[in-house]
Amino acid sequence: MSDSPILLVRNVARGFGGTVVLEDMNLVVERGSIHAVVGESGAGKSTLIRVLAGIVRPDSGTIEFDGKKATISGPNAARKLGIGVVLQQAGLFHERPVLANLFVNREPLRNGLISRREMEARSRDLLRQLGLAVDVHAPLAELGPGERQLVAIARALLENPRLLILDDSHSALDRRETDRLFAVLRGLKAKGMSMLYASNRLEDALAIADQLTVIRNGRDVLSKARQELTTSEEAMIGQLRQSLFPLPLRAMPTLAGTLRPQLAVSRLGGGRLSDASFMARAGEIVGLAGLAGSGVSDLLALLFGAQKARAGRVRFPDGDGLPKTRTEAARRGICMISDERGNGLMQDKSIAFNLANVVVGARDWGSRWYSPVMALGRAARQIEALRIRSAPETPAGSLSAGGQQKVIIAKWLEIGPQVVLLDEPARGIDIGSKQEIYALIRQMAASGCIVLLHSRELSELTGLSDRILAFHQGRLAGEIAGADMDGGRLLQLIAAGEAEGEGRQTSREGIV
Amino acid sequence: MCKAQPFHSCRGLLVENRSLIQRLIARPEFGPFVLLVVEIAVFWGFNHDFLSPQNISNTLAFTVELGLIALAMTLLMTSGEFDLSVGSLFGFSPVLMWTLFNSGLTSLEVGFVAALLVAACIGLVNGWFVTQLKIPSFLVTLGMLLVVRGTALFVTDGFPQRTWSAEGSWLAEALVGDFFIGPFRIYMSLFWFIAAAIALGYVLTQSRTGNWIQAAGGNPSAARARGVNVSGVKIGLFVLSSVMASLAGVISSLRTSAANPNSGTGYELEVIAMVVIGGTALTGGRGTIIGTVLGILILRVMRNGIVLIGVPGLAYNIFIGAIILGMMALHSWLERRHQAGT
Amino acid sequence: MTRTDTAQPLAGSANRRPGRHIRLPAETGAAVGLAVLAGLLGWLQPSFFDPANLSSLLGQAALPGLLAIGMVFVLTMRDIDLSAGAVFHLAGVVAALLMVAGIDPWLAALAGILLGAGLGLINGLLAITLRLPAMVVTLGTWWMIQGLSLAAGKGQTIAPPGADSGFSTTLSGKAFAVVPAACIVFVALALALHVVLHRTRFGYRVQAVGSNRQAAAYAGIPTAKVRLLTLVLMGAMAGLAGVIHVGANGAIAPGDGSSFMLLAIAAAIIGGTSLSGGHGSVVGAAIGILLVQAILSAMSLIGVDAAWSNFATGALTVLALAVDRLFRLWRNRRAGHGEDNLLG
Repeated sequence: MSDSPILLVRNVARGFGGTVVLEDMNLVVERGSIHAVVGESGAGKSTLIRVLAGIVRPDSGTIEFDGKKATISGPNAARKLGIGVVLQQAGLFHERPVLANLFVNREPLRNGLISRREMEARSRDLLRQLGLAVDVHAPLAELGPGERQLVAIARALLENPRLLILDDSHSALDRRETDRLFAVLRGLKAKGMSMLYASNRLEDALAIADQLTVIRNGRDVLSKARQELTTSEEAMIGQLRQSLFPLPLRAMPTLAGTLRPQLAVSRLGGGRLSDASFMARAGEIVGLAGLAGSGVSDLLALLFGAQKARAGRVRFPDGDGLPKTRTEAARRGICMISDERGNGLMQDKSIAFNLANVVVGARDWGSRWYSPVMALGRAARQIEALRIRSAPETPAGSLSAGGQQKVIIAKWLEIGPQVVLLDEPARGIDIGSKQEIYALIRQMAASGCIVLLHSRELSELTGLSDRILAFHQGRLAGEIAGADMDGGRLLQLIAAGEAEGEGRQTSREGIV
Repeated sequence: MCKAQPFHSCRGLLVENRSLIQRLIARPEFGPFVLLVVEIAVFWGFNHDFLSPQNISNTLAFTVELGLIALAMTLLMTSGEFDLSVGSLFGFSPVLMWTLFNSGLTSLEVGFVAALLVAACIGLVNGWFVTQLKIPSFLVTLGMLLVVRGTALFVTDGFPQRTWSAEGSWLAEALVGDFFIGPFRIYMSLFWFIAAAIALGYVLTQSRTGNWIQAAGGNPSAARARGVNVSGVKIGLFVLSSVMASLAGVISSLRTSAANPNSGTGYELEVIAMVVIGGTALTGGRGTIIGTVLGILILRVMRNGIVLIGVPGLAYNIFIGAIILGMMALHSWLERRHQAGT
Repeated sequence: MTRTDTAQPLAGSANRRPGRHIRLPAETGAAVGLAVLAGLLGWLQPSFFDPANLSSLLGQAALPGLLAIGMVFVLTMRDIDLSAGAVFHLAGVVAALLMVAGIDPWLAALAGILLGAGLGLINGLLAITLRLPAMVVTLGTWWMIQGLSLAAGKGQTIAPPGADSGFSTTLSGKAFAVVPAACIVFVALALALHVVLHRTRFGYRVQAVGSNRQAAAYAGIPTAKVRLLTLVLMGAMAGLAGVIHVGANGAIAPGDGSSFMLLAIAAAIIGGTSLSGGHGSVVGAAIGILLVQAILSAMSLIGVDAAWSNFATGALTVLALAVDRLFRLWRNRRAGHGEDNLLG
């Protein structure tokens, strides 16, 4: 390792329209090392990356690259310095073939025309190393989400950057794919590439990083070499997560057992899901755990009417079966809240307008008039109750991610849905809002909704759910409740479909 | 990780073994091709004169002029923009050229160059408004349509410009010199058109510029993130579109020895229809020159055939509208099927 | 938060200044612009305020104005109806033909309006069943309807007889000797539709669907029905404008209304309706069309060649769009957004 760090970030600050996202960020990436930046979503990781990628300019602070002061004025400038970035929104072109995606704007030319042969040759080795055995001439849309992420990473690697920046860009990869990717990254490190790796997943960060920086509220709060991390520090980082959850309200609310409305799923099949049967009752939060391809996303889509079922029957509390369309689902009081806030929020309309979505917009009965005064009153009420820090007239898009999610949840709270489907509802949200949202979810359940919660962060599932259904490769592998939820059994179920009695000892701190 | 097994895509779904025939059918140009064949067959069935050498020569002559515009429009629409001012430029440019010539100021050739330059400037203005002010292209160019048309009318007071038979001028010979190949009367412009089609086809599919165009239309912010100069590309395409329209207008005026400020009215829609029917996506990101050529033929054959079999010419509009809708519905359906199956 | 309000802000109208204390309705800018322009024109050319000129201006503005206020709904829904001008013309032709055939003018007018609504219905059904954006569908129907117009009218001007029928006299009459009947209809409808957009559930749904169709569907709003109704409304307005044209002018010629579609869109945008959907202002569109028409009328007063009217309409539209866009950028910059994202 040579002496001078390849990247030096000092006192960088950046705000967006009033909210400060980065306050005083410092970072030192040593040459030829892998440096991980961990922090809760919303802590500022993505903004830092965007500054380094040239997509956003910092309000203040200095950046030095390779010992020289650098102003990264745009993506081209970043590229010229030798910075390669893979973002969460990878910026791929879905209708174009994989090969075209790998070489966008860097296509090798022969006699002025693009040389496909050369593109194939250059990419072949790398794709093989990454384990991407796909038809490079097929359109990108035909690949699975994990493969698409690998294509995005391959695209950056093909430019041989001196500093590779990865922003939570392997979230869709399973264990094996991640291991393979890490092997490739380590190989590149040996050849001298430096890497900046931002992630939510602590265990991955600990596995691959030489150095670690923890970012919180826009600042770097801890920066150390991996080996030098004391166990208490590790625990502290891990614990950042544990304190999030509302005190375990695991006891079922006291409603008469048999009279509680329930959701009965019987041998449901569709997409990857097959033969799933379970029941969920009002007042409980049922967690759905599973890796990509386990059928959980299909289950949610089926229940929400976004997908057609192949087999099986479902009975909702209102007596009817699966909804045929999303609109029908919403009108019946089956709502879906996901991390795609674009599905639930009208960004340029005011908070008051958004909150009236269901109450005014969707109802066919009742008044034909829309009263802005009433809307403002309603909004003021919800803002108060949910602690949304904004005035009712402000456009919803100006809220933070957490605030936006609260508005989405609040609009449903207005009418009290029968079934609430949650798909990673707290992703990308700052800690403070996360706590409040978790409390809201608890509240929804307590007020009589049936809540199904899916999340990739197992700690979120175990912290919120009353019981967890584990899915593996399209089948319901098992159900976990109570004390069992803290053990490794859940991990085993979703990874392998069955839990071993003894045998594998998964270290506790590795579970995030 | 997924290893695609034979016959199984990575999602475990059964994937047909894609034979050559199946891959041909899946191409967006297949539908228009079938439509063209059917159309020709139908018209020929009504009236065998349809495939007579004279008729074919006539059809081809006019096809070329609109075709040049359509080629440029294909690239522009692939990048996600429209140019509705092409029809007015088609009429304006020859008017400008002939006015300059008639007033004794310049020779015909210089007038020609001047007209092209003016068209290029108009394209620049269009491009600037669209990329810098971010006003939707069809609104900007719709406005420009009126501006150019108004200017043309003003310059000529509404009357067609006097044109001399341009025979003898080397320009006319190069652009519209005609000769006979067997019983077919071919104009030089056909070769220009074919050359343009080949050149632009290669640019779109095999060059880095073509990738820029497709990227700009498919995902502009991702394209910028990769360093593609999206604005520059679009401005360039607007210039190309205007210049092509201007060239087409000049060719037409030289061929027919006429320069009417009102000519070209309605051409913009016809050209867009040609491009869309040929398979280029209306929203951009994907374009096909071959498809456009088919689209050009389909529409021209339709217009020619309707007259030949005695259907009132006014019905042309209705047919074209119906075909546009039908084709776009077909494309849309195919897209959705494609997406659902993967 | 403190507020000195001069007017109750209409929820859903363009409201992008979260820190401001004074909240004016978005239409104020356009209204001020109109007042300034009128003053300027009147000062430059006093004959501008001649009753004859004013009534001609109002009468001419009313027709594209009707299209404009219908277009506001379509634009708010993030769609565009390119066939509006053609619908206007076909409805007028059909109504005129019916009158020529001897049918009672009022019935013929009703038929024209219903025809317009029906064509709008077809547009909507095509858009929904074929799953295409309305712009694409109306590109196709524009062709077809134009063809029908040409076929039906055979390219001639159609002048229904009976210029002294009740229908004609009503529509060509003027209130206070200045305001033409057409304009009264226009203003009345403009006010009515403004209320519809901002105070009814239907208007709410239109804004919601236009702002984010996916989110509206997820919330349970019947997006298909909303789109359909909006296009029907647009068609009905175009049809209404067509029959009024026949009644007020006594005839319909092949070229009539060719620039109306563009004028309607320009007016709506000048008035504050956003091309990206979600926000709309009917009153603003009405002011917008008056603005544009005032400029055109002034030009003909000054003696500018009629051939320039094309040029002027086009140039005006583009300028109006440019000014609107620049104004928005300027406002954004002042609100402190600056460059949030270099990728645009």
